[in-house]
Amino acid sequence: MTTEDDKQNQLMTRDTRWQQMAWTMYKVDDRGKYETTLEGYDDHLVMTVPFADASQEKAAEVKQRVLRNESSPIEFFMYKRLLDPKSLAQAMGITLWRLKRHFKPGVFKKLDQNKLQEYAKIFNVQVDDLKNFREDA
Amino acid sequence: MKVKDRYEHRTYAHCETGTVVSLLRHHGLEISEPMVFGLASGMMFAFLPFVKMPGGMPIVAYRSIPKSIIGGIQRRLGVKFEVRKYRDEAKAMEDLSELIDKKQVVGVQTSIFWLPYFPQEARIPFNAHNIVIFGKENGEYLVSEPVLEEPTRIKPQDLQNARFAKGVMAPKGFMYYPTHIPENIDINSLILKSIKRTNFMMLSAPTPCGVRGIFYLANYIEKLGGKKSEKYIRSLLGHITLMQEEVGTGGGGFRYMYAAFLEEAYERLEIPALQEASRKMTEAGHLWRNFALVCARTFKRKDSEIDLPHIADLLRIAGKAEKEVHLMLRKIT
Repeated sequence: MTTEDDKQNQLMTRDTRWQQMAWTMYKVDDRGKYETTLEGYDDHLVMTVPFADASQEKAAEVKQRVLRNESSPIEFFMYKRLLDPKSLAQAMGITLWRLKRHFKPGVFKKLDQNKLQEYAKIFNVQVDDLKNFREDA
Repeated sequence: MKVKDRYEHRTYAHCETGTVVSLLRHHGLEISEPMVFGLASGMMFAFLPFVKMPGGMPIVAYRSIPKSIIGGIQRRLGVKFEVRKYRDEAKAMEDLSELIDKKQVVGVQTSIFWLPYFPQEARIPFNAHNIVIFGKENGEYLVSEPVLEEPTRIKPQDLQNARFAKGVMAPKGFMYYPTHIPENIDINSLILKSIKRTNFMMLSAPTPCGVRGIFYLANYIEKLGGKKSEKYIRSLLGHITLMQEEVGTGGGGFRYMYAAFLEEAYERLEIPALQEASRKMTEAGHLWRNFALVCARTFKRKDSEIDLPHIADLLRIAGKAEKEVHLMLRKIT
């Protein structure tokens, strides 16, 4: 399978997952009685996506910095997975200060296998993707 | 307790009330979601600008704090839940597996970030999401998820990650299931008590909470102009809409659900004031919705003008309408 196919596939699965979601809404009918209706993805004003968009935008910005060797893939994947420094530090169980150190390319290169493994688990990628920076992982 | 043989999956507006209702229904107590929401005094408002959520946005809550519904419903109805918390991850998964083997249906607290059946864009690091585990098949747990139309599945490893996510409100393997439901619960006699409690919480709470919190938020929004960047203001308005309409509130930030509760209360007790209160609460819900729509529009159209006094006024109107309903209900309780 080419990467193009893979991407297409990913989009498809993403769409079906959205389509399975159903928001229960309480609505009042003409006689003043309450009933529940289900709203699908299409007729719901989904805001989570714009929130995600802002994070993705940031990820794209960071990506350029990673390529210029000014930041580490950890910062990129953090925004890609909709996290922010605080929640990632909590998920890792380290201080914010230490996490921000890991954003420095020099420090990142010296990280041991265990720490990388923990990061990879949170980002749902392989350790290799972090080391060699594959953004689509 | 009459436990049903087969678990029946239904969708619910809110995850916590949803799981509690599923568990109670499965154990033979027929009760509706608005009823549980009302009885547990789930309605609230709080705006805490100094406490930040993931993403750097302040907390805007339209209901009482997580887990208060599980606690509140036990106190009100006299039902007993077995509640467990763990430090040891392996032990937590073992216990869950044992319970499932005994055909027990279990409510579990999880983090949305680790739940693979949600779309990637929706997996925000929010730790107080509740789901029901009702079986095991081919090594995968069967999940009844209140916002999915069909039951779904999850791998034990994913579930373990979700149950032991770290951070604010960390689940710590929290799980619960009912062990005792009294015979003949007289719901009618409990309704007015719970309305009174909601009343107290909404009207008497100090400033960032309750009705005062609504006006506080309105003032806060009005004064934002010039202080913060345009981008921040837009995303704050988007965040408010998100918390009010998108995260399983049943629309209008739980106000519609509460109106549905008041209506059911009227049908049971036949006090005319309750019906009027229900209608007024519905109107307040419409006003809330109005406010959210303007917020959403401002958030989505990046080139539109930001009319903060107008938005603040819409919120004040909604808050005023809601306050009147609570004042009216105070008279009859």
